[in-house]
Parts: sequence; structure tokens; C-alpha cells
Amino acid sequence: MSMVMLRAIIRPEKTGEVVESLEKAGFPAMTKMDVLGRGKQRGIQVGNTVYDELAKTMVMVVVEEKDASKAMDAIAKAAKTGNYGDGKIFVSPVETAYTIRTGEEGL
Amino acid sequence: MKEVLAIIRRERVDATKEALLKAGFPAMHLCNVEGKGRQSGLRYAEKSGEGMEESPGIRFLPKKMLTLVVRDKDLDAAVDAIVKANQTREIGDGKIFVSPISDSMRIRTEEHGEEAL
Repeated sequence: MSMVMLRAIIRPEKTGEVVESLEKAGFPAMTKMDVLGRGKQRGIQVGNTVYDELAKTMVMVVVEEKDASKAMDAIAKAAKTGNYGDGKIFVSPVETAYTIRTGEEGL
Repeated sequence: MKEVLAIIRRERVDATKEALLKAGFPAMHLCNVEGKGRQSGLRYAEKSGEGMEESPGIRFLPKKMLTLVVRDKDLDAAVDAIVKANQTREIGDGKIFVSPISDSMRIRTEEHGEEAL
């Protein structure tokens, strides 16, 4: 069973919707953290002020490889506004997962 | 090289750091996160007017995220140390994820690969 980790950088105000959408799609387990970042547009310029560290929320989910596209769809559907700054999703391989409580392998 | 990413209880951080140091892993990265697992956070019954009632509970619980990169042969030792230091056998002990790392670099000396660890 191979797994992947999805790291989604999303708008902080969309976090609630993304969490709900993931729960509905059958992914109740996740970790989130507040991060600062910027994208290809190098932040945003308002008048003379350049904001190049924009507040974002990173949501981390580890899922089985076959569920990856389903989870990505769930995140994208909830996080999309169609404007710059909607964020990105990165997928990376996870070889093993352990549940600390039991010490056993598996999600 | 492998990356070991563990989501653990905040109050167990000191014990984990000590256990890892003893096992020969002094280097790590710690980060405050919020998370929930398969149980979808904390649920409990609450006293209301007519008796006990299911409260909406707390969805996201504060956790600590610990990341360290180890050599392939040290992987089991690192995972063991984290599991031993964090196991309370109650729900909420956390998870450990292991993923491959393709390269690393020590910025000070520009060493690459396992030498940089």
C-alpha cells in the first residue's frame, strides 16, 4: 500500500470549507498550520506597498495513492475562487505510516 | 535518506527530544500545528438542562510536528525512539510518516547527500 502526502497551501478564510469538503469526501484526518508565502506574482502590490509575505494556511493530508485525486478534487473544489492566490497542492510519496498508539504500520 | 515526520502530543516533546538524543539523533525541526485524526477531534458528553448531551466537541487539537532526516539504516531506530517516547496507548498519540529524501545540502560547507546529515 503506497501512500502520498498532499500539502495544500490555501487561503486562510477557505480553511473551514476545505476541511468540511475533505470530511465529506471521507478524509477526516488532517493537520493544518499557518504559513506565510508568495507565488509567481511575487506577492501583491497595493499602491506603493508591496506585500510579499501573504498569510496562508497549509493543510496536510496523507492518503492512499488511489485516493489522491479524490482528495485533491475535494480540496480544489472548496478552495477555488478563480483569482490569483488560491494556492497550490503538492503531492509527495510516503513510504510508511505508523500509528504511535499501537506502534503498527498503516494509516 | 529518509524523512521522518511525526505528529505528537505537545506535552511529550521534551521526552521525545531526550529519547532521540539518546538514540543518536540530536538534529530535528519542531513546529506548532493543529490537527485531527480519524476520530475527527475530541468529542465528549456535556451537562445540559436535562442531563448529559453530546457537545459539538473540539475539532482541531494543538499538536507538535517533528521532522528529522536520517540515513536509511537509522530509520528503524529513529521511529522506535519516537514511538517509545510517545506511546500512552490512548487515542491521540499521533502518527509517523516516512518519506524518501533525494538530496540534502549543508549550506555552511556545501556538502551533499548523507555527508550533510
